[in-house]
Amino acid sequence: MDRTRARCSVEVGFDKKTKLPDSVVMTVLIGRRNEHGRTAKGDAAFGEGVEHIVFTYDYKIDTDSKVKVFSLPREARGLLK
Amino acid sequence: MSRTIAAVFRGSLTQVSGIPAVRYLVPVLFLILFMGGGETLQAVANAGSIAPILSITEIGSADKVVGPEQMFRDVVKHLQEQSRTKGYQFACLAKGGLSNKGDHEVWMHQVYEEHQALVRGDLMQVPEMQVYRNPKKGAIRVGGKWRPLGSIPEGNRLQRLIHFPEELLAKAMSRSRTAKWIETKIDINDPDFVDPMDEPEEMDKEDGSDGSTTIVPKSKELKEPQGDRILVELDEAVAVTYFNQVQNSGCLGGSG
Repeated sequence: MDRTRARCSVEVGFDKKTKLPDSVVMTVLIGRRNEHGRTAKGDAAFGEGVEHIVFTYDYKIDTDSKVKVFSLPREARGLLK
Repeated sequence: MSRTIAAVFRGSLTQVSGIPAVRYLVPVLFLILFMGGGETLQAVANAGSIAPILSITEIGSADKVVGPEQMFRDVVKHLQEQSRTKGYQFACLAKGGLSNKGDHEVWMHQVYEEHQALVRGDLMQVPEMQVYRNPKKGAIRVGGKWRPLGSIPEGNRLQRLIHFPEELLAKAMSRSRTAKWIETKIDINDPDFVDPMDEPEEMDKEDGSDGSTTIVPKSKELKEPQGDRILVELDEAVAVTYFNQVQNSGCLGGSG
């Protein structure tokens, strides 16, 4: 892979009234060198017919339900310090 | 107009449409200080009574168009506040691999991690895995004992692939290069979906100089944000950071 060719974008959907997000999609693109050890320039590195790496993180967020304060076991609490 | 003003300051009940004018003395003084006497007096004169100027929040406030950058910041802050006060739940699917398509469709999957979690403050609970974690550390219950989250492959993947949404958004806010509104995704199978062709356009009347009346489309002033979806482009370095986390998760040709 070619870390010099990288893109990251975040798309967020939200409720207009509450301004709380209900969806977040993060897309990470990493370029790859071809058999000649070269990578296409700019957006061409992630275009049709050009092999590249893609990771997507798709979050669906629910802010309607209240979450109670967590009661951690003592052993777990110690591991978080 | 002068009678009305005089009546206000005398606190006369009968001369101001039977409304106790003393009650409105303070807001009138407030308006004079901030709007200037001329505008206040004109507002009173135009109103014909004191009541219409009581909506102090409306006076002097112009309709504000919010840009995508500012709206994104607002969304992040609201989520952080929500996390502190009430918490929230989320479901996350992290996946990826190799693609050779312009739409980035993956043909060889190497990462697939799906979890549901609850967040309250800086703590996340993943009930299905008996995990508690904060942005830096985590604990997982294995065989009746609590262990560091990263000590087992499943925990390591969770730690590196599933992020706190408000952290992710906060990083995006600090490392953004561009932000723009994007079209809302429309699901035509949604029961609330209304075909735009079925909805009549709002019309208004325009009076011409020759006395004629013309029906014209109502102008849609931009008083609210343009949409409910924002796309933010981040620094290349952020992409590399997340890629390195995926590599360190063991998903790419490693264990787990």
